Amino acid sequence: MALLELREVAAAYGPIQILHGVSLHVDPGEVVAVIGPNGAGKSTTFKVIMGFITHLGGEIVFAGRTLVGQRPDRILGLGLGYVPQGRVVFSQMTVRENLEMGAYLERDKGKIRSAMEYVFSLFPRLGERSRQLAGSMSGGEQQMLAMGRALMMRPKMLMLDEPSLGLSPRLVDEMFDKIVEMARSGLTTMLVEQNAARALEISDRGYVLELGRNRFEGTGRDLLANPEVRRLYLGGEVRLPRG
Amino acid sequence: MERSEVRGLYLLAAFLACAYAMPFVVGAWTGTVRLDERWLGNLATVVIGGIMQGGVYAMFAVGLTLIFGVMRIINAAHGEMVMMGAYLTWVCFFYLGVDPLVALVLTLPVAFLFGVAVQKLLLNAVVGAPELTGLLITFGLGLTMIYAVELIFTTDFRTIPYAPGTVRLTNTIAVGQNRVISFVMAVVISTGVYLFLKLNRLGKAIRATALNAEVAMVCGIDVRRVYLVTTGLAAALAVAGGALVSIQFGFNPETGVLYTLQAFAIIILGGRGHYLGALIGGLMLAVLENLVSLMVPNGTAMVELAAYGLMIFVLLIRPGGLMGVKEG
Repeated sequence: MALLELREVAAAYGPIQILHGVSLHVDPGEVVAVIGPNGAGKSTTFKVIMGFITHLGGEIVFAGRTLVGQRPDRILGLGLGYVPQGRVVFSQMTVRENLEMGAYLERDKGKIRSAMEYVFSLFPRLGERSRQLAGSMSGGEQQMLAMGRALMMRPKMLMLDEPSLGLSPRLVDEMFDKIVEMARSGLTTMLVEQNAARALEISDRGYVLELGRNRFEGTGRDLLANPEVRRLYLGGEVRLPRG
Repeated sequence: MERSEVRGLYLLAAFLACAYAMPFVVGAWTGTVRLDERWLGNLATVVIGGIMQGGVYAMFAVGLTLIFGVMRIINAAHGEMVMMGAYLTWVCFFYLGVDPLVALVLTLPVAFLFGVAVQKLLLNAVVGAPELTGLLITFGLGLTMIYAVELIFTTDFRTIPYAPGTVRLTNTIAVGQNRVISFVMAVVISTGVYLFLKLNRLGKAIRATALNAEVAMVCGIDVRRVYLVTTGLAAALAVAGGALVSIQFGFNPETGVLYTLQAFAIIILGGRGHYLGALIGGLMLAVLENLVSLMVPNGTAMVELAAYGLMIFVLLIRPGGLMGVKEG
């Protein structure tokens, strides 16, 4: 059974309807990429799942429960983590305080400590800089911190909105390596990416959205090989994934 | 740091040096400055007095900065909450016979609940609205409070006779006992609030919400609850401030307006939404005011002129305030 399933979801930002019927599902352990041009409704899909914008219709089910009408803290409690777009950290708080805020709903100090150790083992640089103000770190480190913060609740599934946005090419590589590493450890992942080719390379499956609707779907390989997807969204030549 | 920023800091330092030298220059010109022991004692007394007064002002200004930082609402009723604190203390003192400091045990919970009610009934409706909306609604709240208090207590000035003695530091330096007590209390309360924001789980959630409300929600922080606690805490700080000024100065229902202006000047000077900035702003403002009142003849008007002049020029040089980060 799918861990997360959306059926014909429609949603609006204030008076403007962005999603007109998006359907997708993510199975446990999968990495799923959502790609598409600007304004396709990729980030909006994440926001409606988290309950941040107006839900107009359709079903959103996570781990057997509907998320429609739920508050963000309840959704986090069910095991769905979310990393918003744009290196969003609490800039005037230390790295450690940022991570503590990630575990805000967890009252068990022992669990918080072990979650922090896990995050530091995944991102050693955060451990080295735990007392530094988050805003004083580089863009890549801030993105790592935002991801680490979402991992503090030990979610079953993580939604990453444009994790490589604005990073240097070397850091983009590092970021995708980390996503693969987390996925291999069993974390179900859904990511939205402008960098569509890279996202599909590391994904089991992908969805292409256009104007708030599904356009294509398939395995990462199939979408990368699909001439129309390549022409429209991947901009020319792409390496095929190995293996 | 960028070069223009460094230049701005030099300019600011030069300006502040001029601002604090001004009363001395005027004093020397008009002959109020005499370099004898008694005058130097007076000088030390006003500087110490200024620091003590500034500490109290800074403490209640922190309440204003908290609400602004977390909700981007300018609470124009903050001074009225200070005034309410003075009256609550007065009632406790004259009708219940409770010592003004002990009365805090009663008045602070009342203030907190008052703040929570203000948040639920008024501010929740204007969070996220343009800043002017919040300013106008709290302005209305302030006026309502003034006339409600006037209805009950009339416009007569009230005072609370408390700790009237003086503390002699040396032969020539003496400070009122009530001032010392107020200052110590202000330091204790400010430190307590600082530690709460720094170490407590809910305190950290308040800071997180101030930095980025949307991400705070992503972390599972109940932002509405943070708003309630923030305004409750701000009201409690204002009422505590009211208790501490009520044992030093007379007050009537309209006194609150002055405290609103004071608190505005302090947080604009220090940097909006900046905790430490409010403390520094409070001390700077009160010390300058006291220097002016000692040396410049025709005091009161000049005191206010100097205070708000300082505020305006600091804003021109550094729009975010002394400790403020660049906005945008």
